[in-house]
Amino acid sequence: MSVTLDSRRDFTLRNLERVALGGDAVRIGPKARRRMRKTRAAFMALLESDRTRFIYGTTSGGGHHASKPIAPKEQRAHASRAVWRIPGWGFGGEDVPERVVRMIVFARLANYVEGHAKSRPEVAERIASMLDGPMPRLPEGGQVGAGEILPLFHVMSAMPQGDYQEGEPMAVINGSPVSAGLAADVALTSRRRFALATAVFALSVEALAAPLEAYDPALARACADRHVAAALQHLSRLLRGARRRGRRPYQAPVSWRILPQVLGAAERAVETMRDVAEVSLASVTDNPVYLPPDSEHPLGRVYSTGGYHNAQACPAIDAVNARYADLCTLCDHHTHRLHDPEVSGLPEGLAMPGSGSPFGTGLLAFIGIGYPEEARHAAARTFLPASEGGGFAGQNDVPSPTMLAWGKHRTASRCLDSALAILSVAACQALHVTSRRPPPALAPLAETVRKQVPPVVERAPPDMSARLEALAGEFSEAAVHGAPWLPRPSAPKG
Amino acid sequence: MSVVVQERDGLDLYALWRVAADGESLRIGRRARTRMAAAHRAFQDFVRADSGRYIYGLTSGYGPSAKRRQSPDESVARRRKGGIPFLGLSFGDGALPETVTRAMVFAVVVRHLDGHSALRPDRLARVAAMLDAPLPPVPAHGLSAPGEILPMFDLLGAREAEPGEGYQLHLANGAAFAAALGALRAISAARRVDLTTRVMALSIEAMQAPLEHFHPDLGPLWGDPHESEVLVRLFRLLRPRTSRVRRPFQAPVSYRIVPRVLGQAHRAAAALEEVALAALRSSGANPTFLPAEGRQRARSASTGFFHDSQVPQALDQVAGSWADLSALAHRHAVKLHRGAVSHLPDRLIPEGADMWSGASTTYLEFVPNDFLEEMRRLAQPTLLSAAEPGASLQDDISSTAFPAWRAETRVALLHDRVLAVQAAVASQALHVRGEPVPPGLRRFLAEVRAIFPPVTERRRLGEGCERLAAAFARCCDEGEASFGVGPVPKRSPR
Repeated sequence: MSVTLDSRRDFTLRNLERVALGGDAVRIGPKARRRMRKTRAAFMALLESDRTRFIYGTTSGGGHHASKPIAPKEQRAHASRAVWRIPGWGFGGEDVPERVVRMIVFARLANYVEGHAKSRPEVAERIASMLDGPMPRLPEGGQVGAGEILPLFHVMSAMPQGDYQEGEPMAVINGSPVSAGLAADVALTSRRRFALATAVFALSVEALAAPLEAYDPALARACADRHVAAALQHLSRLLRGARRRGRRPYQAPVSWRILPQVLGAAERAVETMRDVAEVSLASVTDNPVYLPPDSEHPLGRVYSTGGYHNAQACPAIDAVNARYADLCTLCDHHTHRLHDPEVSGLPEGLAMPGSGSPFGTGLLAFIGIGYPEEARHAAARTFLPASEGGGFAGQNDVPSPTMLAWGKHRTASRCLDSALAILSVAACQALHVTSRRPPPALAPLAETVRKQVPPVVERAPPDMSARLEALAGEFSEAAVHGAPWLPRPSAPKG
Repeated sequence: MSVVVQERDGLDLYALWRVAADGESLRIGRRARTRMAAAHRAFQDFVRADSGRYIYGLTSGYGPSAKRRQSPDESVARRRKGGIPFLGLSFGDGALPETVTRAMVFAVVVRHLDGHSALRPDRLARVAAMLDAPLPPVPAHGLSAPGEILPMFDLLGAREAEPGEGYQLHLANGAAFAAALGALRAISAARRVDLTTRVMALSIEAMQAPLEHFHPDLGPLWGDPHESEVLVRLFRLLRPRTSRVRRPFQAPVSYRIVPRVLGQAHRAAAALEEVALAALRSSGANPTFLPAEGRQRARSASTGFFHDSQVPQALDQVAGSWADLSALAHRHAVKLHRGAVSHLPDRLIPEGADMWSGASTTYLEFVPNDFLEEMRRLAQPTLLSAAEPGASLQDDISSTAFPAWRAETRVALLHDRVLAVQAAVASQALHVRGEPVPPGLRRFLAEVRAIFPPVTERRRLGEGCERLAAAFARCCDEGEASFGVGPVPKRSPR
C-alpha cells in the first residue's frame, strides 16, 4: 500500500499514521509532479532575471554567511556541492523511534508538493523513496539549534544520492518538518493514552463504588465547557451497567469528583495538540520560500521567512505533559485512598479478607509516589533557549526547542503509563476483594490488567516488579498502536 | 449605569469588565428571577419528596463531616448558627485589587442565574447589591484549597444566613473565582498581545528588517489563523515603507520568527478568552440541582464543579508566551546595540560621541536579564499538588486557579518591563538612524517618546523605563486607551 501525495491537503494525520505506523510507502502524485515542474521553471526564470538578487542559500551563503553573496557563475556549482550534506553531530539520549523519523520524512514533503521548495520533482521523489527502507538513526541529544538543521542533518544525509541545482539544497534541510513530526507523534499517542487514562479512572470510580451522579451526562446542562461535557459522556459510557446498589452513600473524595474537570482539561490539551499537528503537517515552512507566479508577480517571489521555527508545537506538547503530570497525581491520590479503609471503606491495604495477608497490595501506594514526581519534572515549560550558541554574526540567535519538549513527553508518557498501571492493579484488586465485577465496557481492560498482574490473594508474586513493568509496557504499546481492549472516546463536538 | 444579566448564554467578558473595572452595578433581570424562583420551588419539592435523600450540606455535614447524615431539624439548627463558620483565614501580600473582588462577586452572581443552585432570587440580588458599596477586603495569598472556600470566607463569610433559605453552601461551592480571574486576564492578555505587536513592529522598523519576513501572503502557507492574524497586523503597522534603504539580506532569526512566536501568544490569549467565557457561563456547583426537564426527573448531584482545570491551564500558556516574547524582545535590544548586526552605530552611540556622552541607551539592554530569569521561574505550569491539603480526608485536591493567576499576573508585569526596554531601545535606534517611521507606528512612537524621550545626554534611564512599563501595564490591565490600543469595548465585538 502507498499514500499518494498530490497537494498539501494530503498531509493529514490519517495518512501520516498509515505511513509511520502502518509502514505504507509514499508516492508523489502526477498533479504534484506537474506543479513542481512548472514552479521550478518559474523559479529559474526569476533567478535568471537577476542573479544578484538576494535569495538566501542560492545567491548568498547559508547561516552566518547570509550576508556574503555568491557570484552568479558559481551558483550552480555551489548548489551541486551540497554543502548541507553533513552527517548529524548530535549525540546522547535514546534514539528517536523509527516511527517518528518516518513522520519527519513524511512531513518534509509538504514544502515540495505545491512547488514552494522550488525544486524539481526528482528531488521530492528521492525523499519519498527514503520511506521504502529503514530510517536513519536520530539521537535525541544535541538537536536544539536555530531552525531544524541539526536533526535534519541526521535524517536527510541518508537521502539517496542525486544531483542538486540552484535553490534545491537549502530546501532539504530548512523548514520545520521535525516539529511537525514530533507534534504528530504526540497527537496520535496522546489521543489513545487519554482514552486509556479515562478507562483506568472509570475503573477506579467503580473500585471505590463512588456515587455515579458525579458523572451524569445530564450535568452538562450546568456546564458550558464542551471538554468537561465530553469527559462526562466518556465516563458515563464506560460506567454504564455498573451496579447501582451498595454504592458509597455519600460523596466521593474530591479527587474522584473532579475527574470530569481534570479529564476535560486533558482532552482540551489533546485536542489542541491534534490541531497543532494538523496545521504543522500541512504547513509550508521553507526558508527561503517560493511563492509561485501571480498577476502581480509574473515570475513569482522568493521570501526569507521564519517558517523554520514552529512556535506552537512546544507549548502544545508542554500542555499535554502538564496534564499527564496532573493525571499521574490523581493516580497517586486514588491508589493511596483505595488502600486507606478510612476513606474507601474497603479492606485495609486491599488485603483479601480472611487471607491472613497483612499488607495486601499496599505497597502499590508507596511505589506510586515517584512517577508523579518525575512527571512533574517532565512537565517543566520549554522556553525559547537563552543560549545564542550558533548565533555567529548575530544571525542564528534563537534555537528551536521542540526536541526538548518531545523528550520530556517521552518521560511524562512513561510516568503516566506506570501510574495508570499501578492504579489499574489497585482498582482490580479492590473489585476482587469485594467480589465485584467491572462494568461491561471496562471488562476487557480489567482482564488485560489481571492477565499481567493477577489479584493478590495471599502474598504478592515475587516477580511483581516485572509484572507491573510488563503491564505499563502493554499500556505504552497500546498508546502507540492501539489495542482491542482499549475503549475509544469520541472526539468532542466543536 | 447597571449591567442587567438574564441568561448565562448571553454573557460576555465585557459585562464583567464593566462591573469590575468601570464600577457599574449589577442587576438580575426579570427572566432570570423567574427562572431562579421556579428552580427554588422545584428544589423544595424535590427535598420534601424524600427527606432521606443525600444532599451534600443539606442532609449531610460539610467537608470532613460529609458522610454524617443530618435530620431536617439539625439542618435548620445549623443554619441558624450562621452561613459559614469562618470569618477569614487567609493572609499575605495585602488585599486583592478591588477590580478582582468585584469580578469575583460578578462571577458568583451570574453562575446562579440558571437555578442549578436552587438559590432564591432575592438572596442572589442581595449578593449583587454588595457591588453598590465597597467590598470586604480579600487577602491576596493563602487562597488555595479544594474548591474556592478560602477567599469566600473573606468575601461572604460575614453575611448572615437566613433560616429556611435552602442550600447555603451553593454560594461558596462553585468555581466562580476561577472564572473571574480568567475573564479579567483574558481581556488583559488580548490587549497585551496587541501592545507587544506594536513594540515588535517598532523594533523591526529600527532594524530595517526586510518586510518580506512579515508579508501576509505567508499566512496561507503556514496555515495557522493566529499567525495569519499577526502577519496582517504587523504588516499594517509596517506599511508603507518609509525608509530609503532596508537591510539587503535577511534579519536575524529573532526578527524573522516574530510572527510565529506572536502567533502562539495570540492563540494562547484566544484560548484563555474561550475557557474564561465557558467558565463564566457554567453554573455547576456542589451539589448541582437539575430541575426536571423533558423525560428527565429532577435530581441533585454531588459534583466536582467547584474545581476549574481549564482556566489555570490557559493562564499558564499565556504566561509562557510572555516569557518567550520577552526573550525575543531582549534579543532585539541586544542586537540593536550591536553595530555589526544592526548596521547602526555600534552601541547606538552617535558618530563623534562616546559612551560618556550619555547620548545612548547602551547598557540598558543588560537590565532585562533579571526580569527574564524571574519570568522563566514563574512561568512554569500550575500542576495539581500531591500534598494532602488539609485534615479532611474528603478534600484531597486543591484548586490551582489562584497560583496560576498570581504567576501570570507577575510574569505579565515583568514582560511589560522588558517591552519598555525594547521600546526605548528601538526608539533610540530610530532616533540615531534619523528615518521617519511608517504612519501606523507614528502615534505609538510619539507616545513612547512622551514618556521616554530619545537619549541625548546623561539621565537616569531606568526611571523612564519604569514609567513606560507602568504605562504599558495601565494600558493592558486597567484598560487605559493608549499606545494605539483602544478602550475596552462595552460588549463583545464579535
